[in-house]
Amino acid sequence: MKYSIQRTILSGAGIGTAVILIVAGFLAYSLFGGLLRHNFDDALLVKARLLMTLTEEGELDDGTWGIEFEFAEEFMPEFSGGESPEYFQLRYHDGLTHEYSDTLNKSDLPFLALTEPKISFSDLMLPNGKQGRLVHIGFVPQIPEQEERSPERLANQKSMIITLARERETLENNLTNIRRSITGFSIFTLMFIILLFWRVVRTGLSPLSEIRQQIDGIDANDLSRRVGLTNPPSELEGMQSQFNQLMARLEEAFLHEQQFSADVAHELRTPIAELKSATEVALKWPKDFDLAHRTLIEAQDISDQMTKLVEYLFALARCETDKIVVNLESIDLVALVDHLTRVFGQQAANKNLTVKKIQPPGALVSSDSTHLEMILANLISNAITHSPTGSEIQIVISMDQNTFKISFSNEAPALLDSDLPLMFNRLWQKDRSRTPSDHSGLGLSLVKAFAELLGLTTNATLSEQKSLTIELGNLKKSTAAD
Amino acid sequence: MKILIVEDSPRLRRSLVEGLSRLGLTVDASGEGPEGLCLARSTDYDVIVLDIMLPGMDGLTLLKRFREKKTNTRILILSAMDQVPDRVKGLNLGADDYLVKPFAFDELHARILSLYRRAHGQSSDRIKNGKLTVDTALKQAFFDEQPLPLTPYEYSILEKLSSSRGRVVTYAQLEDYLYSSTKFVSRNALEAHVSSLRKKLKQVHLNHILETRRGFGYLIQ
Repeated sequence: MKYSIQRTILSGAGIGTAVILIVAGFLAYSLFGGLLRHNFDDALLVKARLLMTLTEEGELDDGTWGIEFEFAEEFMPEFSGGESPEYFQLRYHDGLTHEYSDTLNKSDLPFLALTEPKISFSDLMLPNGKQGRLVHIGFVPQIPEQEERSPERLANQKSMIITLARERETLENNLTNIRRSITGFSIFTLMFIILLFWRVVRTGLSPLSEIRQQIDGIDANDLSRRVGLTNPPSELEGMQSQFNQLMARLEEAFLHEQQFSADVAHELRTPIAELKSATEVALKWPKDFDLAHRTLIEAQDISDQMTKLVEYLFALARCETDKIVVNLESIDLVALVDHLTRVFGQQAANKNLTVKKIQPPGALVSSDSTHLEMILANLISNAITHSPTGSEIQIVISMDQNTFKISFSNEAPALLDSDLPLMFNRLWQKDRSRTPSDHSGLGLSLVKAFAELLGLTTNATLSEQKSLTIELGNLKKSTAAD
Repeated sequence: MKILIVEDSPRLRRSLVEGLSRLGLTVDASGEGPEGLCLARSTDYDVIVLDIMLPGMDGLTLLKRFREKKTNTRILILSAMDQVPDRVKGLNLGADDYLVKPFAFDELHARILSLYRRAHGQSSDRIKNGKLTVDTALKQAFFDEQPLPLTPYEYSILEKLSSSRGRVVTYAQLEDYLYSSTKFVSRNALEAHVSSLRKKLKQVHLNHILETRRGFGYLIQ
């Protein structure tokens, strides 16, 4: 059976309550039953002692010494019969009967040779066939005060045993009633407590059921739904907000993944479509050599573009799976920036861009030269591509204690603040049409991935004047060891 | 047949214009959404081949805005977006067909012809008018199953008039049909092509099939 909080609490409460009730019932039964038995035995004993006081050792009518039993039936009719007859038998210590009640009808009660002052209780089957209880008392008959109490007589006194029995049906009935009352009360209490717990647990767990229902309603294709309890308990408030935050992150990741898949599909389908269409058209007119020549040139361009895209994707994949080796060395950051601005100089000149550099001398950093050059080349290329014609690009190197940072600023009139968190995403492009160009939208993703690999930080800010600044920080100052 | 291609990939656009033009279609092309919408609204195209992800205005918006004004032009969406919801959305917005990139050039051509036939209520590539047959797939006219030696312009005039049989095709419509928006051609040149076509039809004793409605245009009965 499946684990359930409600069932666990209910079964725990049920079993616990049942154990408590059984123990309490047992104790109550023992207490009340014991008390009733004790009272019954006390009453039996009192009666037996009364009979005992009726027994005297004195001079008999014939002048000999013997036992006199002053019993008057008219005062104790229960020994003659009736609805609840009682039984007694007075015997000498050797078992010889001196006197017995009429109710015994000459039969014997069980005998136990007791000496004074022993008392013994036991159960028995009465002559009338009912269950009974009897008491044996061993005693020495009293000697009337007026009679002689010589040491010799006292020494020769024989002990007697009085046995008294009466029905114990009333006692058993009372005990049965007590047992039934305790059992009934226990069952009722158990049911009541289970019902009470069921109500309480159900009410207490209702927010969980509500959450479960709401979560059940969340479709994998629509992650925009959130959990909202009508009256959230304090214990679940944190869980609800954390779940909703998790859903928000999941939705964002899912949308990114969806967007990435769509972008990859577009980035791959479009050049394949270009290639397929161009070659099929060329093959339709195979004797048109000019068309064939143009098609071959286009095919080469397309394959170059796809090669670049695939290399970028592979580089990202390698970077994300930590399969890239980092070789730290001392790098002159200023010299590297100068070199790259020369490499991209023609591109900048084509757009009539001014590249302004603010860099302190001797900016030696410890990093991997190949990866750092790739990062900086991407940032410069990105700035040149997206700067409006005739604008200025600023490259600033600054030092902060033991680290350097380098920033690239360019005008970005179309960029919005909301674009900043997205621009490092794989294949993100401001132009949602993804019109084919040399930039696939992987450059900044590579920058971020490789920066993280080198332990560098990346940050993008947009000024009110629409100037985009991408900052690469935490470039460690080179030490002698490098 | 006159078609418009709105596709932002210059390479794909170039190869489609090249191939479809060589197959006898009159092709206009645009790489941007707003320009594509402007062309689509200002010219009577038989078929528009439309990409979805376009700069300036996406293809679906273009389609929606175009359909607000025109309903008779057939539109084929040509897109890299291959998911069912994308196709359903495109078709629900008024596209007549949807082709996913990458595609076979011949399939695109066949679909364009199919849309053209549907636009003109034809069930096959052959438009029959007595013994005269115009095969829009082969770009060839036949009389009594014998091919007529027509130039591409003459054939296109005959195809346009045959597909609009019983209705007057204005000079402007015929000019639009024959020439792309980048070419300017004089009315005299059009009349010369019509005159030449009429002579060739007379040679097979189709003397009165092509009528001139002076001041309006031409008509095939």
